[in-house]
Amino acid sequence: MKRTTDNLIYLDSAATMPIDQKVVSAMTACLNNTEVIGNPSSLNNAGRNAMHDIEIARQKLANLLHTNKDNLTWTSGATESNNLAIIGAARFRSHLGRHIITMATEHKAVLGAFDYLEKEGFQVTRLIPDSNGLLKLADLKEAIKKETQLVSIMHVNNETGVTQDIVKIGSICREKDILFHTDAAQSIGKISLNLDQLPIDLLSISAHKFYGPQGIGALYMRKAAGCGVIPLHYGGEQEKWIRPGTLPVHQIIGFGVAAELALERSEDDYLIMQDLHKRLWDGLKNIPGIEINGTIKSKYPGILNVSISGVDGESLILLLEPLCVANGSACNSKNNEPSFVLKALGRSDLQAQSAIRFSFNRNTTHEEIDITIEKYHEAVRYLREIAPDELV
Amino acid sequence: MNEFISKQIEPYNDLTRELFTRGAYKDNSVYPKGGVIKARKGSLDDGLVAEIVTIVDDEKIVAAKYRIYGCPHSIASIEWICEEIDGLMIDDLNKIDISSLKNLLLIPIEKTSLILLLEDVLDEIRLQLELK
Repeated sequence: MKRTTDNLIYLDSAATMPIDQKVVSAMTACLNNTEVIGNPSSLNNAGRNAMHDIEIARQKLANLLHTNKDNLTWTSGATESNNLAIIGAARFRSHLGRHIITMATEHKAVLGAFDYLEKEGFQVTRLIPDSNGLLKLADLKEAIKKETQLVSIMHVNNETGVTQDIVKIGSICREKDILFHTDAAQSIGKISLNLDQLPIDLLSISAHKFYGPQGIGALYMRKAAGCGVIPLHYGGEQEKWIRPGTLPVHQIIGFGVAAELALERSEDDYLIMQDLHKRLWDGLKNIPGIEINGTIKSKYPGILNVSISGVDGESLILLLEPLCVANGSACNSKNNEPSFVLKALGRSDLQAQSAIRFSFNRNTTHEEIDITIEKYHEAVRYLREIAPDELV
Repeated sequence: MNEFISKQIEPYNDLTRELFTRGAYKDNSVYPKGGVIKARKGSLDDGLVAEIVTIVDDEKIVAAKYRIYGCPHSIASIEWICEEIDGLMIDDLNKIDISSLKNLLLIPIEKTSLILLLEDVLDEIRLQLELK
């Protein structure tokens, strides 16, 4: 068993971003500082220092989201936030109705929570997007019943980058007094959101998707009558009883710094992503049989997902080494099943199976993109060369 | 570290990687003199299409070539098979043990069907040789 680090070109940033060195420095300083690393629930000086730093980090995240810091609850990441938001809110409002709505192309952390609630007796509607990956608003309106209490639609899709119109979706929900949750793991820190002005009730965030540490996330919950969650865990008063457990101080401090950096950089970063996306797609688009998965018109440019005919995805990934790319989402990529997200977009098993997701970060260089283009061309050429003629 | 986790961390061993990219027996449609025997199995729906072409001259396989659509393990496997049968007397074809690939290439259990399919390809070659 050996770890491979030589010549890696990391284009799997939608799975996890490389941590920013300023984040590392802040976390290291925290871990090295015995004054601060007390238990933030303790009332002694070390504990109070820790809680002080946690609240500063919470304020930094609140600044990024343009909301009050009291609306934010620390979690272990977006998966936990999604579970807490969906299961917690559905149970919180179950006395009003037990119908909940989501979309078939959500992250598994959302779909899994809906599956769980379905077993608990909730009625679930899973909307199918159009072939571009976009939710049809008419379908949402049609699916809403008087028993509907929660809608969960992600902002940026983790496989395709397709970006849903959460303003319109949230407005539809607000009109009907339905809670609207969005999994924003792929958009926070990259696309500016003003949560105090958007019709969003619950929003899931993950630090490691925007240069922060793994293992820390947050749930935004709007303060309003009828908006709440029943906790999933019990046994402590941390996070106002919503999410008990000792808070990881160094991770939260790192998260705060990542939020601070995102507030400064996200607009510039977006332009960098557009440039990288264009450069890569310009280099690939002339290969016969290649196509983009998901619309290019409403899409976060940090993700490019392409399928190609006559080529096996697993073989393609191996030939692309040392490029680090994904076939399907990272959570999904260790089984050989074609991506359910791409299948929901109407892609065939073969199209979905050949899909590669390239995802960038602010450190991705033009040279890396050019090497990627060259390697992709070479890999496709080889696999088509050995394939039976009529498959190419 | 248990076998399951090891395979997740490194799903391809060195031999698989070598055979996968070697391409020494890929079909370039240039054949030596002899009778052509071709067998193909699989479908795109199964995610694996494998074809072996053998050139037989005087009871001997003087060339073996392949075309394939499939995963790295299947490509490495067919490269190995063609290397094994190239130069073989046709009576010795039975000695090829495709099931040994499971251990040689550490083929995961969920891909066992590729071994069965490649066995079918080789069986078809044998059958056609017997009928000749």
